[in-house]
Amino acid sequence: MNNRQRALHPGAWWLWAIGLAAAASRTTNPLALTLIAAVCCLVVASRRSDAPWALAFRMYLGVAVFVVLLRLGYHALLAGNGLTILFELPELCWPGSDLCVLGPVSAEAVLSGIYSGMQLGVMIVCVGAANALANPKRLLSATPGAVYELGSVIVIACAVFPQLAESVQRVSKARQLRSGRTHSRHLLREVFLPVFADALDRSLNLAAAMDGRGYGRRNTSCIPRGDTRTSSEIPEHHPTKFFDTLRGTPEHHPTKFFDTLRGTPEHHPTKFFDTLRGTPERVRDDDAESSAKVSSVLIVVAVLALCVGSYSILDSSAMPGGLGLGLLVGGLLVAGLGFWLAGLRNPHTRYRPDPWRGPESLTAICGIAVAVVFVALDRYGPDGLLHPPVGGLSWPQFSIYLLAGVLVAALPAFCTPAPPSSQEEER
Amino acid sequence: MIDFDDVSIAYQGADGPTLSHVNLHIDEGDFALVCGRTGSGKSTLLGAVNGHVPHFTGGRLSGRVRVASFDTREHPPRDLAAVVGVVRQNPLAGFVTDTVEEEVAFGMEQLGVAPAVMRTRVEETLDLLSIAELRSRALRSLSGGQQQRVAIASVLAAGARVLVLDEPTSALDPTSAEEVLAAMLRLVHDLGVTLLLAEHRLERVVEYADRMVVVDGGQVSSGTPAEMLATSPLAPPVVELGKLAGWSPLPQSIRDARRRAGDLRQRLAGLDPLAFPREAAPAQREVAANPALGLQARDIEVAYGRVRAVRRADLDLPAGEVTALLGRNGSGKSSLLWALTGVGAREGGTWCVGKVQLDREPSQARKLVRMVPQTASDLLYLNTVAAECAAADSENGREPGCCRAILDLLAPGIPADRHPRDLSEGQQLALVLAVQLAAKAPALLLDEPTRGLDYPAKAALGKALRELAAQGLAICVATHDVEFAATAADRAVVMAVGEIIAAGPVSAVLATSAVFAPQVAKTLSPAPWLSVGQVASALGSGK
Repeated sequence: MNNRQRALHPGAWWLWAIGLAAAASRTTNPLALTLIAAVCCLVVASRRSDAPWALAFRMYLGVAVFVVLLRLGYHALLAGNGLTILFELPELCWPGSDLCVLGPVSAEAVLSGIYSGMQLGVMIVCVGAANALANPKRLLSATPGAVYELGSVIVIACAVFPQLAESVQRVSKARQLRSGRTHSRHLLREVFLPVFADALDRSLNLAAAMDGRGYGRRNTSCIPRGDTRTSSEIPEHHPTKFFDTLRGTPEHHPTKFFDTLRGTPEHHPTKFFDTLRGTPERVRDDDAESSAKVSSVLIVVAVLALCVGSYSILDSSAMPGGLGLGLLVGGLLVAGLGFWLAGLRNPHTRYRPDPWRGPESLTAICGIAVAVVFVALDRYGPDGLLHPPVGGLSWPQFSIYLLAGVLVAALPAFCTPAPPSSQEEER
Repeated sequence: MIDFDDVSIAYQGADGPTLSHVNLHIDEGDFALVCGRTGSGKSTLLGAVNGHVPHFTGGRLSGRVRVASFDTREHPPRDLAAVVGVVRQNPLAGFVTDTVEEEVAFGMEQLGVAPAVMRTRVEETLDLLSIAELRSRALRSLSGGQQQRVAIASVLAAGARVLVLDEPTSALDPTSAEEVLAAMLRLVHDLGVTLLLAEHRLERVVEYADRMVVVDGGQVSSGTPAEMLATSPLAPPVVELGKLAGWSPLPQSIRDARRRAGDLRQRLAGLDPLAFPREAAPAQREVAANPALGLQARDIEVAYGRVRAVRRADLDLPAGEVTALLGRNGSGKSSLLWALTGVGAREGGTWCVGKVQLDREPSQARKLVRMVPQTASDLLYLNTVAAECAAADSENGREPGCCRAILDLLAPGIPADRHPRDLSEGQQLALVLAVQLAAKAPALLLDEPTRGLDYPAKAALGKALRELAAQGLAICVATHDVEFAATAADRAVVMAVGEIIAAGPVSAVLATSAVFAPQVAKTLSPAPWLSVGQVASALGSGK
């Protein structure tokens, strides 16, 4: 696959970027952070397409630099205790208290500003890299079947903004033809009334068009005779497309685990799932209803578990740490199961879903590996490696593990297929 | 394939039913052309086919509509998506995704078509409509004709065997319209698709139709085009010419007409077309046409980024004449008109009205040049017609009632308390025209005013423009409608890739053109007869 140009699954890029961002959140070592940022830049430079969202990476870099400068400014001007004084500024104190700003600027404060600013900045760069590398629309269209309609709605809502901007432009140009008033009093009425009327017309048109094209349909009885190639012939396992994609088996052969869940390898649903999914031909109403209830209950339970779990992770005094983590993981699993069940009732299919193949797994593993290395170093590594002290004004430590750990994340720049260029036929 | 069984449809709050007791039967594989005046219930008839009316629009339907034996009472539009495909006038407004391939697949995704089947069907459909090379293009970047073909492809791919098209070509230039029509004809002939098509410009399609459905005041009658055209008040020029010359059966295509026109050509030989007025009741000219008093533009340049939309265009609009500006979509017509108002982008060039040199400042140009933009309703923002008129009077410093008086001349009888957005397209255009005319500027520009207008509304617009020109206005109309240009305009200017490639009297520019010749000119060439009215008065004078 490496010699053919194709866009990587957007989920792979996001996992990779989240891994890097998680690693960055574990360290304030400027060498490690610079290395992470450099790896991001390298991968973006070699694997981004020429689509508009890919060009926004520069903007993220700008924001990151701005964040570093801002943090530097705050630390230098506001938190001024340190031993090595670089220079003195006139101190401004709140009368009658010891609240002071400016005053002596210490090297330690400057350093800690740079370190913490860099940490935040690099995390922003990681998010920017994911945005530049992954097509946001393809990411939305990879949403699980259960929230398919929500995904489409978001895609459409995003498409509305350029249209709205276009209408504002058109109407304000037209307004100049008539009155040419550039100010105020009537502006709202003269521009926004036609724009809103336009937007309303457009949404009604769009709604009518979507309705006429089958959006939101649950009933599949109206397939014309003679056209046998539709729903009834869809392989039974089609609703698990999301899991298939995640598992990366292009032929959609369920793996052992899901086989066990769903029944025999011949895709005969077991009794339990039979009830949930209804008969293979068509979901009967009462079955569909009970399935909907089960999946809703699962999702509610999952959300509760996730809330309690993340609370106990953030506040370790609330619950024993293991229990919090367990709740979090369990919540995620139950949520996944709920979505999967809800997706089973979804009659939609996907056109050319992004495949999940070797390069996707490699990319995701690279990102996660970096995070794992940093977590491990944080726990077992030498003191001061990930959080160099600012006190002694010494050169931050570095280790071969750190270097190797971060460089792993650069692999996707070489081991993934190049993105298709826009001139060429895609994929 | 489509059955209307004693169907009546009434909307809430309306005075009477929009359609009453309609019985209509369209066979599988028919190409049925639906025509009727604006507001006659045409759109309601089309909407009822896939259940859009009344499931989506509201209203009350009695009787029974069946399509491919599915009753629309029991099946809302989304259930019929695999049976009926609807394509509307502005395809962009109905696009859900943003690239061609995804759009074609969207309908199938909703129907749950298996991925492998989906893949082959997308490819087949792209080839069928000759849009395979556009597959990864953004929909917004396509031309109107391409967008329309994508819209047809997307409903066809979902399995629709009945296509309902509501004025699919009304916004297209003649060549793009031909592309779309050719694609539709191929579907009818090769795939046996049933086609229900509404169109105002009958001259384009009537020759291909198997049946013609005429909607008039809620009553529907249908028959073969030849039968229907003999009695229909709406008929293309070639049919009008046939009626005038007494041909039977009536010709429907240029080919039919030309083969029968030998006799007529002989009767007209020796008569000078220019000596006869092109419309039935010519306006009385108050002032002679005067190029010096009109608008003169020199070396107009318009560029958007690296695209040069208008290249060194020289345009003369003599006072007292109507000039038609023709050219394919994207040839720079709108850019040129906008530049002349002082509002649009302009890189270079000078222009003047009469003796007054205009500059960049839009407020100065606004006193002398007024324009009706393509989306005329953009200029309307008040709640009632009366309020719009009053606002126009005060904006232009006219005495109250001035704008309303102009409106009554253009389109009498529009209620003063009606909301401008509730007016028909023709009435809305008249209102915007009145608002702009209240400024009493000596030059008037109109960008595509004829889209969506039926024959009578177009005739009324043509008459109004000619009367205004007779009072001494310099008028320019950008249009795709060559029949309108042939009857309403004195001069014609043709643009291509930003340049003006032909300019002169209508008879010289249009009669000899392969693309822009009106039907009468094609039938009676080489003599430059342009309109049925002209031939009628020539024949009248001969007797």
